[in-house]
Amino acid sequence: MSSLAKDRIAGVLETAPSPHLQSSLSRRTIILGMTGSLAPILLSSVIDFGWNALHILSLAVISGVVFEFVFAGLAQKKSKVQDGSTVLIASLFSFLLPASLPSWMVVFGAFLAVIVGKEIFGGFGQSLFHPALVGYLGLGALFPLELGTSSAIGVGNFVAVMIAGAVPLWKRWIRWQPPLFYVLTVGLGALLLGRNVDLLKPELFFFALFMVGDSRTIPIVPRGRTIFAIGAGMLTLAIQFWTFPLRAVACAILLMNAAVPLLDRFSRPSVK
Amino acid sequence: MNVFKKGFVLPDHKYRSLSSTKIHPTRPPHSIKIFLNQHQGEALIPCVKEGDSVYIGTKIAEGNNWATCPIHSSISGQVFRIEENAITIISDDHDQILPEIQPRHHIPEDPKEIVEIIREAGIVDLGGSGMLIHPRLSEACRQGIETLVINGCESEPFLTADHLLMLNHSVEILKGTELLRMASGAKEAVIVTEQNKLEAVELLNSKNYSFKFDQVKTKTLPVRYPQGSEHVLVRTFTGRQLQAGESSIRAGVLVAHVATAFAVYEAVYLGKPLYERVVTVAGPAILEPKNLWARIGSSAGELIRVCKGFMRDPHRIIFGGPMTGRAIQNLEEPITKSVQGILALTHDVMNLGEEVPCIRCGLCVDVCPEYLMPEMIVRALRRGNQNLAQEFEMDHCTECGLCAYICPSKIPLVAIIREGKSKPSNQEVCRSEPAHVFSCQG
Repeated sequence: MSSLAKDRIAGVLETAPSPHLQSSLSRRTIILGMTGSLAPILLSSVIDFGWNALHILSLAVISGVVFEFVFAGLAQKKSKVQDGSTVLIASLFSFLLPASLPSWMVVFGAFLAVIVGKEIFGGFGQSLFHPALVGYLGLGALFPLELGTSSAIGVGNFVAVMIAGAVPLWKRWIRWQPPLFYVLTVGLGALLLGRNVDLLKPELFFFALFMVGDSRTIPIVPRGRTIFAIGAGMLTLAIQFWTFPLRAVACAILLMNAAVPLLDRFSRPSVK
Repeated sequence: MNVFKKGFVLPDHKYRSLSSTKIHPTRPPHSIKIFLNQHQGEALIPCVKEGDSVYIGTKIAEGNNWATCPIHSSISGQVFRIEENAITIISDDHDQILPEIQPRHHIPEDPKEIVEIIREAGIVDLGGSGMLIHPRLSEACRQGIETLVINGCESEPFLTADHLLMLNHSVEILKGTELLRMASGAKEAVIVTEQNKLEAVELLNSKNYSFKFDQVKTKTLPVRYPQGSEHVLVRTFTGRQLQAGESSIRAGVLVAHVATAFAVYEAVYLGKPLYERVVTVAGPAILEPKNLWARIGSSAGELIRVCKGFMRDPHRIIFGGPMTGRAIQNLEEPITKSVQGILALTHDVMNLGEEVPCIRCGLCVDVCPEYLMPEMIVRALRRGNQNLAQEFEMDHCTECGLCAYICPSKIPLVAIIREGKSKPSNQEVCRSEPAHVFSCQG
């Protein structure tokens, strides 16, 4: 062994536990990829609602990012806005809002979604409730009249929603089983209850794909996810007797989010 | 035959070491250092003194009960130093084998005789675990098993030793398999490989056609890691999920490695004790990756030199496969009987990254071959809750490394689980989770 090689090796060899390979998949890829695949929805919302839609989206995103920086500074921790999760959550949140919402309410809602829904719980992936839904329902509780009952800017176009969901489904950032079970439960239930299948509006698919399918706030085990999806479906059917569909879906999903720790604790992967 | 659906198809990285299909012999090393605790179980006691002359195949250490097997010298020379758990021998450059080692004229067929020969030859399971096989063979004979599975899957990336062994020495492997089958009392033996070694399977089948070992069959499984893990093979063949610590003999199956079958052939037919084995020296930092016949106890540096050394700076050198192997600290580290490969890895292949908080993507649950939930186990361990981790079946983990491989947040799941398994219950695990701002009480 030449001395040159020995010197080179002595300083460079590191020991670490196995495994010594890692996949090239990174968290940032997933988050940025999901944000990017929302582009069709943005496009359809601008087509349907004009520049108001863009205004609301950018307001939500910018205020969300600002809030996160401020909060991180106050808590004296390094801000993780670089991983893109705030943009993702703010975008999803903004798609639920009506085009006529006053700006300051958008900002306040972004605060609810990003800070209360995400940061206080520990950041992206650690929240119990889906942050966008926290923002939406919080805003709806405080300002029900302005929020209105329908025509949210982003969720109206079925084709746009499906295209947006295609890439995440293909790459397994969103699982396909929970949205499928959710939609099936709601559809079957609506038929059985005699209500018209008006419930199967495009809004439902948006929630199904990006909230029931969103792996951060649903159980981590397939069996738990199925229970989650069916439970959310049944709750949606129940709650929409009391309130309008958008809010019913949001409430149902939030209630099932609360059950996720329990489902995680007791469901196991099935051994075939 | 159940299909293995969990696990993951890893990037292959095998083509460079397959550029030569020969297993290259190596010159005997100048010195060897043999560890006395490389087998499962207690350390062995030297039976030579400093200054003794030894031949290749001289017994240098043995244990004091039947459930141990001896170690033999792999070069001829003089015993230089005996330390607490290692013996160093300096070569005399004559490379002479012990004269008593002669081919056998009569091949025994009695299981006990074969087991005794295997034990005396110092053969352990050459699949990387260092487990003793002669106790398992005699237990299998006593309990009666259905199938002996010879594992030629080699599903870890970079390693090609078993592939070339099957290509070059298929006759020996078949004969060794038949011997192991007789020694274990199994009704049939199945040599299992993955679908990237089809020509080896063809070769084995065609040789078996002339030998007519009717109870020896071959089977090809899809390429998936860890297809060759013992638990996975047992589940593939019997559908049974083994409990933690349960022996596969209870399920009627015994799993041995292809390299073990070869070593058994050499021990029984040629009288050779185990002193060399096939090692894959590969990795993006090696100039000419190859498979070598390496003497037990030679240092990593010597073997890498046979492959013309490094062409880039390695960032890690690993004994074994990249998923389950052990990183070594310097190139003087000697190989033991269970080292299948020496890999010199660089950062572009390893793809390491800094740890960030979990995003609960569920990929670790998807790939775990033991149907565990690594994320929940690690979350329990990080909160110091050993008992909860046990409830999530932490002890079933076979440390295959897939969960840590696939984690997009680069959380060292396997390392944490390994730490957790070794601690007795109710003690705080010393790793702390990277907190974001607050941490969730999940």
